[in-house]
Amino acid sequence: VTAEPSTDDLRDVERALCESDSELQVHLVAAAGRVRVKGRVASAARRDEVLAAVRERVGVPVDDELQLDDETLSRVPSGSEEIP
Amino acid sequence: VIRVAAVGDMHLGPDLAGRHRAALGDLPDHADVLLLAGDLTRHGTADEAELVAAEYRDLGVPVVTVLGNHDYNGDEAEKISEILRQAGITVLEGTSTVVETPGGRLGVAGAKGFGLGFAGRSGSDFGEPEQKAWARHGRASADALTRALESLPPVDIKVSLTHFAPVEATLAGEPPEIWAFLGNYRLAEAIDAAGCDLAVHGHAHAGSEKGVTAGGVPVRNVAQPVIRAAYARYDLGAGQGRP
Repeated sequence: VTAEPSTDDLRDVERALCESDSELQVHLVAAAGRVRVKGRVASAARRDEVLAAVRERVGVPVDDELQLDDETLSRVPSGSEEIP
Repeated sequence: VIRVAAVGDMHLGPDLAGRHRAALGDLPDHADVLLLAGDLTRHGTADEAELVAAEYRDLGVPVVTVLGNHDYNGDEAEKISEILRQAGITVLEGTSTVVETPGGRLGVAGAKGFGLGFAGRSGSDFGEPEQKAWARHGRASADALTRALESLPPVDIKVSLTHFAPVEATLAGEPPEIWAFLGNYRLAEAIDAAGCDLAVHGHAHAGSEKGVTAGGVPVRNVAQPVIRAAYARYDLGAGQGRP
């Protein structure tokens, strides 16, 4: 893909991420000649892998808007729920 | 009161080594047991299981787990289970365990579970052999949970631990098209038949935390992307006269 990718192109990339590595929470949006990569992945390392895979496939600049799940992995909960 | 900490879907790989443990140092101050609801690893390899073992060994409270579908991906589930057991982690699959706590005896019955869907819109034991096999495996997974629950001796609090969801409510947020691959109504039937006090599961990263079975058993989706913390904490038995 050399021009701005179509919606179908982006769905193909999402599908590849989903089917190859069970990455279900990554969504792509094309705008102004760029692709915004949205959603959530496990870690910064995983984000880098996903962004590299997207860049390779879409051929236009990619904006990282991914959120990382591991940012909350070390967060101690502030309270508990009482279940009678 | 029995204090239960629970979390699932950590999907540990080398990039996350030590990240979860950093929040578990004072776990005995907050919980009597840690339940892990599967998908401990990212790809289901023995190497990743070693990371999991290092993450959860010697926490000062018993750790009880089931495996998730990711933990089966590398066809090394037995090896993964053995690595976890060597680290002192109790691995359940159609089995149960009793944890003695200051607040009473906690029974935990565990099974991974499997997809099947929900009553009226479930997969059926009909058609091609592959379809039948899928549906039968879903039913068998619920039978495994039933066996686990029935194997429990009398306890003060009974908890079901699965990876797959027993109810639809905790899948809210996930695309409905994939609910049949995320949950199984027969798990809820087993939970209700046994009279559980709580059912804990993971698997549904984009789901919701809270649900309830038709029989009134609270269901909690503790997938880490849902609870967005190191663990969720539930105080069980409050109001039942136990200290």
